Amino acid sequence: MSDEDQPQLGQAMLALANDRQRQFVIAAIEYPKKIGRWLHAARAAGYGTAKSTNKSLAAIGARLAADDRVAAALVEESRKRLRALAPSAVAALDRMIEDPKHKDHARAVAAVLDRSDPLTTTHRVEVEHQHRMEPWQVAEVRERIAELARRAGVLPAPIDAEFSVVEPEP
Amino acid sequence: MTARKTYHPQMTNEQRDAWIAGLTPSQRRLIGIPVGWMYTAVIAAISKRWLTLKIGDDERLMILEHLNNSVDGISFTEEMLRTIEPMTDLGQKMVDEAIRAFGGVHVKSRPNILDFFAEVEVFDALCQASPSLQRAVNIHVRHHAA
Repeated sequence: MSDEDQPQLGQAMLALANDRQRQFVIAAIEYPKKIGRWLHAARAAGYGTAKSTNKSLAAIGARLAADDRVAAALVEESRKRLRALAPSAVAALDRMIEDPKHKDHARAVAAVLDRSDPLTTTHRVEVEHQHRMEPWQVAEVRERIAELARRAGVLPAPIDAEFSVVEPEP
Repeated sequence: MTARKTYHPQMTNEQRDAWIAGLTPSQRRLIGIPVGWMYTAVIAAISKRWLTLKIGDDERLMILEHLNNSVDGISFTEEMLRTIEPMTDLGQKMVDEAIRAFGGVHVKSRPNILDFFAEVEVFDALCQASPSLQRAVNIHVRHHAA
């Protein structure tokens, strides 16, 4: 893995014995279903052999998940992922404030915000602002777009130009 | 849409063997790929397709930030993100049809659509339609074999 690909791992993830355990934690968190999480994570992390049965992989996974260090890493990584959801939750919160009928929605949003960062307090502040950006702000946004586009391997903006096919010279 | 054939952890060993035996070699390579990785790869290809459209700087920045945030450096690396090209017309047609079949992209149907994209047969078909997805899979396999 190159240096720029190295994720910023938390203390609990760093404390794990090896990369396979870290992969187990990531796979367990990414698995979308409720049933078979440990089995899937153990398989994705490369535990067992090609002939290992689901039962033995599930046992390996469950044993790993019960390990204190792995359990701590699971909690840490889950919190990190939930924190990444916070911007969407804030946007949903805004929508909910506009429509007070969304009571269930409000509970879900509050839960995400609470779990992502218990110390965060959300205030609704009414601010009057103009949408017009200053030239330096536009330049900053464009610079950020160019940087992110380079990282993602895309053009900063589609090329919008007329073109003609040039025949090679004889 | 045809009956869904998918891996389920509650399959018996016999059912799992029969399921694997019915897969093509390219589908078989996808068995060990985490479903979350497949979601991310498909969404990256769709997002990159949006970026080829004429959109405002604010929307462009939002999509690029989302792509940047999808890189975790372990499962989904920057190299994989760079390898994935905008979804092709055929791939996008498949995605649009899936979204229509699941009744749109509202919150309730989203998990079903993502699960559908991560089915080995479906993801393989998307790889055939958008070959850069297959190249990203190859990097993932190489990355995790190392």
